[in-house]
Amino acid sequence: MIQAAKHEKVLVRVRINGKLYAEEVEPRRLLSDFLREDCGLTGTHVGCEHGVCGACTVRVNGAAVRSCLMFAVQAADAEITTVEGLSLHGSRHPLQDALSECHGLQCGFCTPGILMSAAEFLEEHQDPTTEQIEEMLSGHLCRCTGYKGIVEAIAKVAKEQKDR
Amino acid sequence: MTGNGSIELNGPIEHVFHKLMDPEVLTECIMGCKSMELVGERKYRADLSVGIAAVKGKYDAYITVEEVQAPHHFKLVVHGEGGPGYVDAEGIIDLTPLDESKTQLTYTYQAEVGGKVAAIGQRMLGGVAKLLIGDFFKKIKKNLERGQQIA
Amino acid sequence: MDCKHIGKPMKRVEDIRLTSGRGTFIDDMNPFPNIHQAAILRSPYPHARIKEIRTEKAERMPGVKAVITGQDIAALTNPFPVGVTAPVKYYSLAVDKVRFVGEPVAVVIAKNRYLAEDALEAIEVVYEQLPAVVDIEKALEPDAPVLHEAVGSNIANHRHFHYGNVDEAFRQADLVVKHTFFYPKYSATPVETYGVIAHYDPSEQQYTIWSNFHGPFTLQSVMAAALRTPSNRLRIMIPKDVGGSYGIKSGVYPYMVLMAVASRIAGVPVKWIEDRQEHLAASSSGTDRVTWIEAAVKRDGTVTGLKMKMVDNVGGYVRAPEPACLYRTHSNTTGPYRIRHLQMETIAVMTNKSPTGLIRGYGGQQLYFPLERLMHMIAQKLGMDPADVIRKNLIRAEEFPYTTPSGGVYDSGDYRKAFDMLLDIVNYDEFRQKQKQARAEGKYLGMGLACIVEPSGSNMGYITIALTPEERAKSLPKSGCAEGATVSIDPMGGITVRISTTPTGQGHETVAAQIVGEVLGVDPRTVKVVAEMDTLTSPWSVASGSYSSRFAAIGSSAVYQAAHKVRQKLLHIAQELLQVPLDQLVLEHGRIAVKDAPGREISLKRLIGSTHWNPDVLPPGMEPGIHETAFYTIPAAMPPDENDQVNGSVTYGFVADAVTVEVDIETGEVKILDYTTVHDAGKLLNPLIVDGQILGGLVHGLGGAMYEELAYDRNGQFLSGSFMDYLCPTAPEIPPITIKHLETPSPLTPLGAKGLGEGNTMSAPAVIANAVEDALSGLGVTIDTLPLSPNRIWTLIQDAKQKMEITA
Repeated sequence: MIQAAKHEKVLVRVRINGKLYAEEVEPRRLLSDFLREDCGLTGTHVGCEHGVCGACTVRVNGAAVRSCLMFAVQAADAEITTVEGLSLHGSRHPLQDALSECHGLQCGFCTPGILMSAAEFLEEHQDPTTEQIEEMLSGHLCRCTGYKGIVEAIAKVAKEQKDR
Repeated sequence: MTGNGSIELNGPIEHVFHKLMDPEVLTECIMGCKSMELVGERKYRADLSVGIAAVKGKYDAYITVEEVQAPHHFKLVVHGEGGPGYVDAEGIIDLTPLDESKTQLTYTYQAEVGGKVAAIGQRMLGGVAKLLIGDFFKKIKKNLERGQQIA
Repeated sequence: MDCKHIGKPMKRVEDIRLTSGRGTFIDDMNPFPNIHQAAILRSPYPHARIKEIRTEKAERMPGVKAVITGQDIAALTNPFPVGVTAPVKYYSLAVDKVRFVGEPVAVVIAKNRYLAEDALEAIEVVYEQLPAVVDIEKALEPDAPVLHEAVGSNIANHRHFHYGNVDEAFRQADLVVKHTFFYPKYSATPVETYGVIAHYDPSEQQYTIWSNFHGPFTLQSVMAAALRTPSNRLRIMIPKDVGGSYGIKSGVYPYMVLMAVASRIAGVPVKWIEDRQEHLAASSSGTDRVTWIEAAVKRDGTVTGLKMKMVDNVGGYVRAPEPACLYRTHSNTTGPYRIRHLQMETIAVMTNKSPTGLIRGYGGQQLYFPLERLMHMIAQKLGMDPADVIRKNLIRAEEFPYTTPSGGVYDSGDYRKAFDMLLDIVNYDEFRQKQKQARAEGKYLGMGLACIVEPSGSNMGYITIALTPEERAKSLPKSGCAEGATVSIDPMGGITVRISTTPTGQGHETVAAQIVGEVLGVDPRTVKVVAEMDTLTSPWSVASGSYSSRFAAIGSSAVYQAAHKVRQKLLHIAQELLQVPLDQLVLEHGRIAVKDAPGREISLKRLIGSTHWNPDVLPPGMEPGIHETAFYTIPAAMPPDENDQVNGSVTYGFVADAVTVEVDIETGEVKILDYTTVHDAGKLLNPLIVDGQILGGLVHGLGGAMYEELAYDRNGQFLSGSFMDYLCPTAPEIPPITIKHLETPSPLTPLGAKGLGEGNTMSAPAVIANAVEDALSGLGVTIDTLPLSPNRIWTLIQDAKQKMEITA
């Protein structure tokens, strides 16, 4: 457990997308702000700061979480993956291309959060039904696409996964 | 929002009335009340710390006691303002003696809440108000019982 | 036209960066050094006088650079100009009064947002509460609380219109059908909220403001007037990535002015990123509206005349471009029907709710809800099928171009064909059987229909219909829908396009590349489109921006024409060099060749190169370099005439919807079983993007019909302050949707394209409401308000039951 006074800074060490970051932050600093401003990873977006829209979703130790509902200090010593880490070493994640092919994005603001949730979902579901995909997506707000292209993209990658 | 209720208190009517007028008792019994000081004739200023849904905060409150008809009836008017919003509430308290050692207290209240706490905690407000008020009278009841034990 | 690129479902060029987390949205940008952050103190009261504001404690808090209040704003800015004669004074901060919950009262500028918000709590404001009013009809009453004393009432705008001979039509009617409809206030809540980065440079007296604003750029003059600055000292820059808007971000401009002044006072660049609670309470929204509507009807179902009184609630301040909400659909008030006699009374009323502005559909959903519901009611009264009533009244194919009584000119369409297509796809006749059977089993199935005309490409002149002809005559007429684009080629042959249509997800970069690729015979992927907008360097005019679905009709046409200018230039150079007439030349495969003369050709690279590296060989009189700008407008966008007739939009599409629902009468829950839409938007430029736009618009309409409402209690307290209470549709709420296209090209645009993307936002609420009423037919339930929440439906069923028991 970390104990700190309100304005006292705490050193937070995290590995993000395989790279080590160490920054001094106030205990109340949200993980979303930490990623975007202290670490310069602006791919993770903030849409509501109360855990409903899902735009800020990242993976902490593998689990998809709302970074707006966590403090940076709670992520100390964790392994975090953000959308920037999806296409590491030059090769894109199949979800990224599938979303484009199925026109599952328009403004792109909700996209990073959806990619992170969907990546976790596909690791845990080998043959998901459309209902299961929609259920997982219910934690994400998209106001552009009407969700159809997103569901199709995830189903497409699931099928390709299964066929492989 | 509005509400009402009643509670049976141990103590003769004058004693109960006196307790309800005592700022030290009120400070102890109002949930989240850090301090209360007299700032005018029957007017108090209090620091309240209350949390409703996700909205916690401090309220700077003014409490006025009006329409005093000792020992049967009085009205409390509360106006609290703070970061999370504001509260405008009115409570009417009526006391009836049941016998020499028991008093029936009936209350009605109406409250208007505004600001962030209303915009976000709307669904909670009715329930929280009931909780806060119920808690207040429970604590008054305990306070009276303790006083009796000591006596 | 047989196209290689236009009309093809090309994958979007924006997608690579957006799927990699490498978009540049406003909050990702740091265009100046030493940016500080702002936090806004907002009114918790719907209506109050500001007696005093004490900021000393806040100013002394750690990291705080400045605290701004209304007095500072009143000293440095003018009220925002607005197109009504009522003397409403609207500043970017409340000055003497607050008029809605959430209205900005003070701004703290600090090192970061956390410290700024800490300081907000230290600001002390003394308010004197005033009675509030939020109900439209109550606000019109003579003893209603008045928001703007100088106006004297809550009416911001009030007009009467009379076309044809309405009284005669009603005299000759066999039947008059009338009803009152209520339309709720809701938003479109883009996932990205408002953002502003403002900088004032005192040495040049230059304001530079970055924001996710998207026009219309008439508002640049409004901002310049407010800031009391020459327009070229107000540089507005829009990032290439904006996280959705659907009209809502048009309302960021008061905050742009606010942060510009804040930067000037604080002496540092200021960034403000709105949070979601602020967005729901105080950004922008569509209007709520009460419509009194009457139709003069013949026994055979023909509607001969309409009388409408529409009252829109524009919120605490009438804010430009309002009251355009009332007039955007003025030209298509009669929808797709051949109604010749029309009477309208329009009122914009101010109440203690947040100010309104552009929203997807803008006026369409508020118009078509009463109109399409009334068509269904007419069918009920006549004992006819709604499909027959609709078909009877639809404008015929041979009547195009069709001029409506209010001056709209529908450029093209085949409404009956589209409607018949729809009925065929949904097996309309079979449905009635299915419905009967279901009812026998105790299930309540219903089908709703709606036909609407989708206006696109707003004519800036329509906004002046808020003024009387006499008032209009006092200033210059307004018209046009101009858009600019530049196509240039650099010395090494790199093709660049600059657009001023400020996309917010519609894929303008991709479609522009497709068009330029088509015209210049190159691979669209080699064309670089610059979507960032800069009022000092982009080709723009007052109508620029993304709104009223104008890219397909107007924005793309500007790109097309600029590309054609480049093409013509290259052809002329080739003509000079090859000494062959123009009509003998073809441009394709990266070169210009002489027809039927193999080997006689010049590569584009060489032609382009000569303009830069060797202008000596150019035809006499031709300028070096390749940098062509085109401004495109459609002559159909004329000012309103002295009879108050105006063609408010330049192109008009058609949408016919059919929806089936099942209503659970025990719980009031509405389940949408399927949604079919037949869509005519002229020539489609990129089918992938088209369907995406239609789906997105449909889901916005669905949200408005079923879930979304910016709710206030009767005292003006704002109730839907977070996404826990303001409900947006998520994936499981989306029904199966079938989209079918019909293309009647527009004769007015070079590519035959019309705008799209707002159609189903306008039709979905009406069609779903029609379906629900159809499902509940026989129960005595009338649907005349939204959203169709289980609570509301259940109450309607219970009330109708009680009423029937009483009369039985």
